[in-house]
Amino acid sequence: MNPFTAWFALFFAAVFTQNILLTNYLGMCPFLGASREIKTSFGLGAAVVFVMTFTTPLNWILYHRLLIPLGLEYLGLIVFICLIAAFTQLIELVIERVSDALYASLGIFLPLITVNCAILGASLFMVARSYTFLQTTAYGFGGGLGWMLAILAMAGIRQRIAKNRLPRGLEGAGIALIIAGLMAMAFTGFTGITAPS
Amino acid sequence: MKTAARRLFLENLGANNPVFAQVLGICSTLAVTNRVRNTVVMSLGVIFTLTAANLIVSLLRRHIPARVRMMSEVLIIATFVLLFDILLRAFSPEISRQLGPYVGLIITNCIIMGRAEAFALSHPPGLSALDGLSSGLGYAYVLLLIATIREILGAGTFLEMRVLGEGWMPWTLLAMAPGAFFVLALLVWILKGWVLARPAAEGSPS
Amino acid sequence: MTPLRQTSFRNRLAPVLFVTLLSALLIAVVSAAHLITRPVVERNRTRYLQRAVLEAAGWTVPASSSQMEALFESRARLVPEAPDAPFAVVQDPGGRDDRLVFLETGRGLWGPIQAAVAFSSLDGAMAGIAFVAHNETPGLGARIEEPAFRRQFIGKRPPLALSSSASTGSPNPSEMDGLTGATITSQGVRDLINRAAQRVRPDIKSATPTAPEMLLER
Repeated sequence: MNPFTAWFALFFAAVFTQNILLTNYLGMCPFLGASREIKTSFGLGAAVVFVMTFTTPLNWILYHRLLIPLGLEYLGLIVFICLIAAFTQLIELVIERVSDALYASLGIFLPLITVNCAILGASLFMVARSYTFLQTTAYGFGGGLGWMLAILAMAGIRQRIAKNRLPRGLEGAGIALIIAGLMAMAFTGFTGITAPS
Repeated sequence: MKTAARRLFLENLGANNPVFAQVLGICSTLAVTNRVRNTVVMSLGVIFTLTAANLIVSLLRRHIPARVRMMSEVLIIATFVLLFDILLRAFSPEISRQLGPYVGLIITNCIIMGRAEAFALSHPPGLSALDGLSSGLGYAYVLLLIATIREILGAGTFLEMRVLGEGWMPWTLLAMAPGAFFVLALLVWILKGWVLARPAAEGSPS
Repeated sequence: MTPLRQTSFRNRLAPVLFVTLLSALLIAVVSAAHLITRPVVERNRTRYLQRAVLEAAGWTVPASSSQMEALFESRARLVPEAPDAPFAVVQDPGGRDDRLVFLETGRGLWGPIQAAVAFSSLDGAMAGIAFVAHNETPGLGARIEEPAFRRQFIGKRPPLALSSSASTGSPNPSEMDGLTGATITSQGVRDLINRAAQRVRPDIKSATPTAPEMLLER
């Protein structure tokens, strides 16, 4: 299998069959709490895509080119989260200076991203699954895109049912979880499509 | 002081429960709720981190500069998570292997950060530690409920011991992601709708 | 009212200093814990590997670590590293067969699967398999660790193909049963076994398909 197909297969898997939110349960808090409107979800999703696409490969470099040669892999967790925090802060500063519009639609979500389990999770899974650098780029980008897809779908559905009456206790998180479960089931259908190993 | 402590403790288990009242922090543990044993270990990790981090943040609360407040909290939480991970890998390698990267994800568990911000920064150490402990326990029992349902019905075992007969066809859906969402939704519905006995405010943290 | 200079210091330098000191302290604590537990972790890893090697070779390994280590000492011999060489040669419980145990890695759903695959030196058939490391889902892919799944490989002759029949326990020595709901994991196991077999007898062609194919989840 040529490298392009391999990259695309992993990318496809990261978006659909191994969706970081619906299969690995990562990034749930904003998913359940902030997914009522498509507009906010889009901003949040875009922020996640941006941060995940860059921090995962950056963490790969830090892990494989700095921590391992020094025998400090056990500090991986702290290093990853520091990089994510630093990167998010930096990007927030840059966006704030560069474009008000971009800041309003994306920048305000950035502080939330630091504690989004999905971002850190992507880096941790990258280590656990021993991905190469190329695989990491596919996984980081695909993972973020998959997360955004899930939250957009969730927001779309919730906007649709916003006027409906729900059983007491099911409003808010309850119905969001059921929707998530149904979406997870739907996404499982994608696992029938695989690329050769 | 004693009654305040007791009220705090009970609140965190019930009305202010991090999982079904505030819907926080499920990410890191939901993945391991298909096995009760793994959930027990993860919950211990969360309780340990919550209590210790709350304690330290509270002790340092007058010294942390405002600008680096979140960063400092993250560092303190990360330390305890790492300590837990290291201890687990040394003394329970089998479970550490099964939990994989999810132990590290305790850092991003919103409850820990949430309690540090909302409570530990403005309360004395003793009470903060208690808050951490009780929030952790409140979190733990809900997840253990989920895990019990998922393991018994999804695999026919409880704590790795077979409880349903060999002929039991496991409800594999419960062992997969959708199962976790549905079981949690069910529990949230029951606990929120009946225990709290009034229409709950939508997803807002108390 | 503090003079401007002092405010500037307090605003800029103090936070950086604080975070640096805090980080240094916390990293020190974590490093100490890591160093203290490192020998234990290493020993666990070695024991785990030894246990897997013994199990693959057909032994019922005693639960106690010291007994397991004694067994390994007496019956197993590590082989010096060389391409295609086995990891260890282990005497079988019957005492008549030297089993060649290879460490091989395959690709599972959630990451690499590492296994110890044992072959009989008498007739080249598989003697057993034991899993060293994997990331598969408990209750689904992780069931490859169960004795019921591993038992089927005794006597099989790779290259193996996944059995397409619904019933389990195919007597065909070239077929293996997969795990329901864990197709990718099963394929990973199949591929690593076939690769290990290639190291025993290089003339066996690998059964891994090279053309893209659409596979249906069972």
